Amino acid sequence: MLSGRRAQAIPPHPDEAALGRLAEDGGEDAAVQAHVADCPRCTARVAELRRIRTLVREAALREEMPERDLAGGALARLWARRRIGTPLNEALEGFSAFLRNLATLFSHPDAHRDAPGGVHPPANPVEEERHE
Amino acid sequence: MPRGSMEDDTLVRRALDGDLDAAGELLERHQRLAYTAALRLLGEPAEAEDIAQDALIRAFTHLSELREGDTFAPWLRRIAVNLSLNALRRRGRLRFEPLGGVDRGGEEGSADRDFVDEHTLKPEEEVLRDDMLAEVGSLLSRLPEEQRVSLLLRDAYEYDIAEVAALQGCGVSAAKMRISRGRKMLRQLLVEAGRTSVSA
Repeated sequence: MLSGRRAQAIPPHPDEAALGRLAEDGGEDAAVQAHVADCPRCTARVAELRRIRTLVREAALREEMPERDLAGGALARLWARRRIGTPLNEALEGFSAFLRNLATLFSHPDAHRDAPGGVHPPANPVEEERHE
Repeated sequence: MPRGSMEDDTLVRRALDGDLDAAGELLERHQRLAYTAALRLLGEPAEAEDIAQDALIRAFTHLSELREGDTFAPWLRRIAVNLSLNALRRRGRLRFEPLGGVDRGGEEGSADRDFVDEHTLKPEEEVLRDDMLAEVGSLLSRLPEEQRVSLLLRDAYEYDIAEVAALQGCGVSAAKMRISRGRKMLRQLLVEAGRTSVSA
């Protein structure tokens, strides 16, 4: 009789997902909260889930040491990219300037004398690399 | 002031001003963080190193996008997490898990056992804690991929549920299920590893 009354008073245990949400942020389901407040088993389960969360976080954030020097490798790749990229960009810019000046020259034959910088040859990637 | 003792914010400002040594110090200081995030998600050291290095390069080349008030380390971690998820996606390894999928947690009898509570550890037991965390890290790698990724995103990196779902290309309900199952399975693995004490 008593167990029958208790069964009516305390609803069934919430599922794991509901207890998990309660463990995360207190949950929003008032029925779940009420159940857990009256149920030692679910209270213990929520506490356990909170400990699992803590363990996951601490274990995941516990830093591991890579075998390679990743920062050094990243900088080397960035440096290599710059060495390849810069002469190419300069060459493209030079060629673009050459075309602009050429167009100007055809429209105004004497204009190149006043053009700032004039027409520059494209940068020499080999020279550039040698200087670096 | 030597660069090694500078705050991250200072190094970021200097790097943005073109100080390559400051940028190098920043990357070196946080390479383990990027590698660890990638390793936890991918589970493979060599692949994690590649992804972490990509994350460092991405951070370097996008440093100007770091907003005022944001700190470098969590920002770098998010880059590493996103690149790791992309890598998983490219390999077709991140996918919907059927709701009836792997679930070893919740066996009868195990619910009455409790883990060693870190709050009850005696000082001399603290030295064992690092071993325990290493073991938990190892056990995490044994979870099915979808569960591991969901659990890490939610519990370790504190993404909200909607983000966990979006990053994995699944629904919110599926993300919640993966997290719940991941916790249950991890608990079961901990029990099997003897990381328990009998509770009252």
